Amino acid sequence: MGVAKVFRCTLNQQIACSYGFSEKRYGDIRSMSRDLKKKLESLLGNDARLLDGAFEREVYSMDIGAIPFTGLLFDNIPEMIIQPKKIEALKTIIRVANEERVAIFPRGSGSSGLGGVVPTVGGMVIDFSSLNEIDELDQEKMTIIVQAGVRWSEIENFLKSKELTMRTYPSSFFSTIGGWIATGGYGIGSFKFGNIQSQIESIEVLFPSGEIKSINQDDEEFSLFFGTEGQFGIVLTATLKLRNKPRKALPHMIYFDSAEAAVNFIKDMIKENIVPYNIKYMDAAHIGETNKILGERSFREKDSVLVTFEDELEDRKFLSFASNRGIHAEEYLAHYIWHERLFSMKRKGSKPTPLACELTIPLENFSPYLKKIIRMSKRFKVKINVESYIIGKDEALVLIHYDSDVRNFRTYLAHLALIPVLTKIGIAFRGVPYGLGIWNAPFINEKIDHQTLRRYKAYKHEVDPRNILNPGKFFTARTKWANIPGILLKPVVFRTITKIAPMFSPILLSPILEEKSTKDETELEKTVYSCVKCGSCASVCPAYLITRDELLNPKNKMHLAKKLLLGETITKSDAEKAFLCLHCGMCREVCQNDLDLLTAWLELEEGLEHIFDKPEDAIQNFVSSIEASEEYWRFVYAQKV
Amino acid sequence: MPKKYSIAGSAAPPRFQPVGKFVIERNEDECIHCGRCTLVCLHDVHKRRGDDPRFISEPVNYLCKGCFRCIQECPKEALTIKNNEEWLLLGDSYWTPETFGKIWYQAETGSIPVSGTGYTGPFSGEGFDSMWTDMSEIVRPTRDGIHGREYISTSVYIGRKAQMLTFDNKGKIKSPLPPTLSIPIPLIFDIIPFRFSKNVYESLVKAASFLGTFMIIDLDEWFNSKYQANLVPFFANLSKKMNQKLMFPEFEGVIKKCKMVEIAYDLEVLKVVEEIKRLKNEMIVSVRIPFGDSTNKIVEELAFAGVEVLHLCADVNGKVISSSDKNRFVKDGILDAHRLLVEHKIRDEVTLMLSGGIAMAEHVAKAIICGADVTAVDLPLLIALECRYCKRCQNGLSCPVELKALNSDYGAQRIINLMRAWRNQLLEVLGAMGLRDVRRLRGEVGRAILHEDIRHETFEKILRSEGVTNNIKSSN
Repeated sequence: MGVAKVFRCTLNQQIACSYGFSEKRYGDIRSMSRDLKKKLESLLGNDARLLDGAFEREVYSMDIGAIPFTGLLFDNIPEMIIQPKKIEALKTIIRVANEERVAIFPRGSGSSGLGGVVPTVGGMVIDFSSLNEIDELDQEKMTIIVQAGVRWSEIENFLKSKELTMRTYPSSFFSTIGGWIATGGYGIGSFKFGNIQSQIESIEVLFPSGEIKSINQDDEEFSLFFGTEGQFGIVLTATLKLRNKPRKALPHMIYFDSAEAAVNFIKDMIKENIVPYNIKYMDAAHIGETNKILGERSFREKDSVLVTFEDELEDRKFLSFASNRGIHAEEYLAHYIWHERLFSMKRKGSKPTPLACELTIPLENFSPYLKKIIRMSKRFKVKINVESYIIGKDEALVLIHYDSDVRNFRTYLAHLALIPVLTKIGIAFRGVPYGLGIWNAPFINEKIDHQTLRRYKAYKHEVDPRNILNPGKFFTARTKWANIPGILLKPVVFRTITKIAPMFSPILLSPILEEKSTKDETELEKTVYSCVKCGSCASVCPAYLITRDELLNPKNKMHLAKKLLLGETITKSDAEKAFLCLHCGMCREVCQNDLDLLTAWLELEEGLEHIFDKPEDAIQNFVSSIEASEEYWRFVYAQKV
Repeated sequence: MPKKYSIAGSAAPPRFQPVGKFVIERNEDECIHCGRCTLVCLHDVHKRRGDDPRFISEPVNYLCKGCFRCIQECPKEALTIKNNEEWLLLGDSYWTPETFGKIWYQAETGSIPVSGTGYTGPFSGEGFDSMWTDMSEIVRPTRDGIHGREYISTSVYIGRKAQMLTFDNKGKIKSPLPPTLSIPIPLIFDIIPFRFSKNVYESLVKAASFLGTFMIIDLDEWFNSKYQANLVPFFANLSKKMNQKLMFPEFEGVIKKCKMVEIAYDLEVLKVVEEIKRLKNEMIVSVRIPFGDSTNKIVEELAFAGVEVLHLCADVNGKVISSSDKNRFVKDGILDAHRLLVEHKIRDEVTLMLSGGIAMAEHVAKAIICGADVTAVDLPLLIALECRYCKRCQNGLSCPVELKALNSDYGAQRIINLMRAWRNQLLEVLGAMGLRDVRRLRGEVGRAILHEDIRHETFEKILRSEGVTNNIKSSN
C-alpha cells in the first residue's frame, strides 16, 4: 500500500467509501490518452473536433477565475478537448469515457470563476460551442427548444423579429443555456419570473450510461439538474418558456441616503404587492464607478435602486407608491443604467484585474451584511462595489466586485483570500454561496441542506457510479498529490483559514509591494490583465466562428498575449494564428470590460512580429478562405441594421 | 494581310490621384473589414490593402462611377457617397469636369470611356453640341468590328495637291508634284496655351514622333531634340522682323531642320512665305489665321496666293478671337471657309486646319465634317498629363500635379493613350457611317444635321408670318 493509498483511505474516507469508487480511477490516464484519441477519432469522424495542442489544453485549463495556484492543486490541464457537432457524437464520447473511466468536464462559455469547468484530473473537456443550434420555435405555445451550447444573446437575436422574448436571462449575456442551468440561474427578471428552473419546460439529459432522457418540469428528477454543476448528466437541450415581447421598458432609478433606506424601500414595495420586472440595488461605490466610466458626474453617488417595469399599470402603481420616497433620478439616467445591466464587468479602476464574490442573502440581513463587509474590505485595502438583484420576496443575489492586480502576486493572493472571507461572513448572515465549483466546495454544507445532499449523493451514485462527470469538485474539492493540499479545502480547515486570513492580510499587503505605476502601461498589458475571459468576444468573432479554431478565439489569444508579455515560449504556429484576425472590431463592441481590443491586437501582432516574421501567406490564405465562406457572409449580414 | 495601322497603348496610372466625380467615405469606426465592397465593386474603387489584406485600403475615389453598389451592400452602412466639391470646381463651362474625367481615363487606359447603358442627354447645346452626326450604317457595321479585317484609313495629307496629272510618253508623271506630308491621324499638336518646362514639351514631341504626327511649337520655346523632324516651329511677327532686317541667324538653321513651319497672319504674310520658300522650296508653310470677322477674306486671299495650309485658330473654347459676334463658334467658321473654297473650286488645293475647342474625340469628327482636313489639339494634351487647368502656374504658384517633375516617357505614353482612344472613336464613327477613309468625311455635311438648319426649316414659315424674319439667318 503506497503513501497515496494511505492518504486516500484516511483523509478521503468519507467520499471514497460513500461512492464506492475503485482506487485506481484516473491513475493511467496519460498512457491511455494516445490510444483513446485514436479510438475517438475513428469513432467520431467529422462529427466532432478533437483538440490536443499544448496551447489549447492550456486555455481550457481555466475559467474566468484563473486562480494562479490551480495547477499546484489539480491536474487542471485536460488531456484533450472535444467539440462535438452532433448529439450522436456526444453520446459516443460519453460511452467511451465511461468504459475507459476518463473524467469528463463539460464546458459552456466558462464565465463563472469558481472552477466549475476547470478539469481536476486531466481528462477531457467537452466544449459545447458547436452544439449551438436553435432547434424549434413554437409560437403558439411560446416555447423554444435550444441546444445547451446556445448563448442567451443568440436566442435574443433569433427572437428579435418574432415579437417574443425570454423571461429571465443572466447578466453575462454571452454565456450558454447549459452553463446557466448548471450554475443555478438567477439573473435579470428573476424577481418576476424566478430562476431558470421556472422558465424551463423540459430538458433532455445524457447520462454517463449513454442513455438520453427527456425530463419534464413535473418529474421528480427535474430539479436535480439545476444548480448542481453537471454532476449527474449532461444537459443536451432545453425547452424554454417565452413571453410576449413587452412594448417598452420603464426603468426608474431612486437614490437613498443609505443601503438600509434602499432595502426598506424595496421591502415596502414588495409588501405593497407591486411586481416590477426587475429590481436592482447598487451601492454608492458602484454608481461612482459608473460616473468614472462616463467621465462626468451624471449620477449622484448614493445607494440607489433601479426598478424596471414593463406593465404600465404596475408602473403607475409604483409611481404613486414611490413619489415621496428617495430622490428620483432623471429618466435618461435610469434608461442608461438599465441598458448597462449587461456590462457588469465594466471597470475603470487603476488596477486591472476584477475579482468578484457572489452569494444570495435574505433581504432583512442585506444592509447589516454590507456594513460588515465594507469594514472587512478596508482591512484588505480594497474598495468594493456592490450590486444586487432582488430575486424573490425576501432574497437578494449580491455581487461584490473589487479590483486587484494579478501581477502583484502577494497582494493578489490576499485579495483572493477576501473572496471566501466575504462568503463566510455572508453565511453568518444566513447567506448561501451562489455556486460551488472548486473554490466554494468547502461551503457545500452551507449551500445544500443535509437531506438534499444525501439525495444528491445517492443520485450521483446511481447515474454516475464511475464518477466520470466533473469529479473532484462540488461535493468536495479533491486535489492531486494524494489530496494532501486538498486538506486546505476541507470545510473545517478552510473555515479556519478564512477566519485567520484577515489577520494575515496586513503581511501580504505590506506597503513595499504597493502597486507599480500603471501609467506607461501598453494597451496590451492593460487588456491582458483586465480581461476576465468572459467569452463575449468569442460569440461575435467571425474569424473564430468560421474556422472554429480555438487559437483564433479572442479570449484565447489574450492568453497567448499574456505568455508573450511574461516572456514565455510561444511556438511559431501558435503565433501565426494570432495574425488571423480581420480587425473587424466586433469584439470591441461586446467587450464586457470595455477594453480597447483593437489596439491590443495590433500591439500583440507587433510583439509577435519581433520574434517571428509576419506570416504573409497565412494571412492571405486566411482572408481568401474567409471571403469564400458562405457562413461568413451570413454572419456579416446578420450585423446589418 | 498587310499590317493595319494601330496605336499601341499601355496603362499609365496617374501620379496623383485625379479629382473624381464622387467622394466615398469609409467610417473606420463602423467598418468591419468584411471585404464586401472589394468584391462588389466593378471598378476597383475598393481594394484590400496590398501589404496586409486584412485591412481595406482607402477608396480610390476617382475610379468610382457612382453605381452605389458598395453603399447598398455594406453590412455596416459604413460607406457614404457624395458629390466631390473639387470636381464641380474643375475647369469652366466649356472644359467641363466630365471632359477632364474622360480625358484622364483615356490617358490612363488608352480605352474608349464607357459611362453606362443609354444616353441621358443633353441632346443639343452650344458649339459642337449643336450638330448631330449620321451613323445610320450602325445597322450594318463592318464585318468584324473596327479592329477586324476591314481597313479604315485615318491618315490625311498636309500640303497642296495637284489639280491634275500629266504624263509623258513613257507613262511617267510629267506635272510637277507639290510637296505633301502624310500623317496617320487627322490630328496635330497645337501650341499649348501656357508656357511649360522642357520635360512637358519633350513628352509631347515624343508622343508626336511615336504617332508620326507633328507638334507646333512657339519659336521662343524651341529646343533641340532628337525628334526635331516632328517639330513645326511657329514664327510670330516675322514680317516685321524681316522689314527691320532682324532675321536672326538661328532662323535659317531651324528652317533647314523642319518639314513644315507655321507663321502668324499679318498683312505682309505672303512676303514671308516667299522668303521661306526661297530658303527651302519643299517647305510646307502654314498660316495661322485668328478666327474672326475677316476670316473668309483672308482664306480666300491666301488660298489663291498658293499658301499650302490655312490654320483657322479659335480661342481655347472654340470661340472667335476678335469679332462683333462673340458667340460665333469655330465649327461655323470652318464651314464658311470650306464652302467658300468649294465655291471657288480650289478646295482640294489647300489644307484647312482647325484649332481651338477640340476637347473630345467626337469634336475631331465633327470638325472634319464641317470641312477641316486636320484638327490641331491643345489643352487635352496637357490634361492628359494630369493638368487640372487651375492656372496656378500662370500666377507663379505651385502645380498640384508637379508637371515639372514629369518623366517625359511616361508623359508621352499618356498622350499616346489619349490619341489611341480618340483614333479608335474616330474609327467607330467612320465604321458606323460606312466610310473607309477619314478623307471621305471631310465636308460631308450631308452626314450631319446642323441645329441651325433644322431650326430654320421648322420655324422659318411660322416666324415669317409673324414678321420676325430678320432674326432667322439661313445657314445656306
